[in-house]
Amino acid sequence: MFRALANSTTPVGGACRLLFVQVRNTTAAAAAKTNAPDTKKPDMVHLKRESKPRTKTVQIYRWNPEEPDKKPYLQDYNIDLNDCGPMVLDALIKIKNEMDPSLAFRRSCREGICGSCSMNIDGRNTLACICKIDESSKPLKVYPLPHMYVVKDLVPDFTNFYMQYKTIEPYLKRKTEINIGDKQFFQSVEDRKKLDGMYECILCACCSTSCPSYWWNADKYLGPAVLMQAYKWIVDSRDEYTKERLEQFRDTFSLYRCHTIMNCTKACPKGLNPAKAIGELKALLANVATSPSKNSATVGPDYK
Amino acid sequence: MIPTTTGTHIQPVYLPHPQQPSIGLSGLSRTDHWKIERVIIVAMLAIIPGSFVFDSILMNYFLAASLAIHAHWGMDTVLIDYCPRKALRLANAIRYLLTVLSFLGLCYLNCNHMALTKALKALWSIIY
Repeated sequence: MFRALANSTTPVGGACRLLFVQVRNTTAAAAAKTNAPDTKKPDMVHLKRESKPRTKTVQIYRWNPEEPDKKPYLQDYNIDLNDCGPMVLDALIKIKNEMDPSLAFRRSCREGICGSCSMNIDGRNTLACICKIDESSKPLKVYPLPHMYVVKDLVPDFTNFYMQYKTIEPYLKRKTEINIGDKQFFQSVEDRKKLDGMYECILCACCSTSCPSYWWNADKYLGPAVLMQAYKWIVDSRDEYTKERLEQFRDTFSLYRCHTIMNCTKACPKGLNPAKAIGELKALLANVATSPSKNSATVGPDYK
Repeated sequence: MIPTTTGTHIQPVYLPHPQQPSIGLSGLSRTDHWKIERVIIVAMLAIIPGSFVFDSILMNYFLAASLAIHAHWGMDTVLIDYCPRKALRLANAIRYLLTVLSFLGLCYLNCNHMALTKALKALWSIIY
C-alpha cells in the first residue's frame, strides 16, 4: 500500500510528479505493481513532436502595483498552439506556468459560469475560458476590463461594481406576514418564465464595462448588470417591494444615463439582454408598461 | 441601507440621493421629464416634414419651439454625461442663454422676415 503523497513545497509539473511516484514505487518495494516507465505519452506530445510549431504572439497588459511609477506596458509572449488548449484562459495558464509566473489574472471554473476571468480580448469583453484563441497570425491582445482601476496586470478592482449591486438589495423582500417554514412561495410557470434571461447573470461585469455611459459616470450610473438584476427582482412575482424598487431609479443618474448604446447585449458572454431589461425598466417607470403581476397565491392577505 | 466595504483600495461613498428633484425640473421628476422628451421627439417626426407640407404660421412656430426645446434638453443630457461636475453650473447657464437666444432668433425670423420653412427653402435653392 502506498502512503499518501506529502505536499511538495516546490512546484512540480505533471511529468515530474509521475516520476516521483515511480521512484517511491521502487523504494517501497511493493510486489503487485510493475516498475515499467510509462510509455504511453499523451496525444498532445505526439502532436507537438510531429508537426511544426504554430506560434501565436500573445500581448498582455502588465502593471505591477509594487512598481507604481512604472507605466503599464504590453508584454509579448510566444506560445505554441499545438501545445496549448483552445481557449484564451488555457494560453494564460500556460504562460503563467511555463514562462512568467508573475502574470496575475482571476480564474476559477474554466467553463464560463463563475465570471472570474472576464477581460478584454482583442477589443471585446468576454470570459477568457470560453473565448477561442484566434488562429490567425496577428497577435492576441489581452487587456483588463476597460475603465476599471487595476489591482495588478489583468485583475480589475470590482469594489464599486459590488457596492452598486448591493444598493439594489438583490434578495426577496416581502411585506406579508408569514410563518417561516409554513409554506413555499408558489410561483406559476408563466411567472417563472419571466425570470429567464436574467437569473443566469454571473456578474462578470463584461456588459457594464463595455458601456461608455458607465465609463464616464461609473460613480453614479448603476450599469447594465446591476440594472438587469434590479429588473429581475421587480418582475419576480414573489417579491412585494416593487414600488420601492422602482422609486430608486427616479433620479438623473441611476438609470437614465443609459442611451441605448447596446454594447451591453453585444458583450454579454452568456447571451443575455441587459438592454432589453433596462428598456422595460424605463417603460415601467414612465407608466407605459403594465406593472408586473404578482402571484395572488403568494402575495396579499390571502396567503395562509 | 448604506453598503460598506473593507479590504480594498477603493472605498466608495454611498450618498443616498435626495427625494426632491432639483428645482431645474420645476417639480417634475426625472421620469416625467424623460417622458416629455420622448413625446417631443415623436412629435418632431410629424412636425418637421409636416411644416414643409402644411406651410402655416402655427406650424412654423411649432417647428421653432420643438427644435429649440429638443436641442435644449439634448444638450442637458450631453452636459450631464460629459461635462466635469465643477464646470456644470456655468455650462448650464450658457446652455440656457443659447436656447433663449436661438428661440428668440427663430421667432424674430418668423415674425419680421420670412417664415422659417420659407427661409429653409430659400437656403436650399441657394445651394442648388
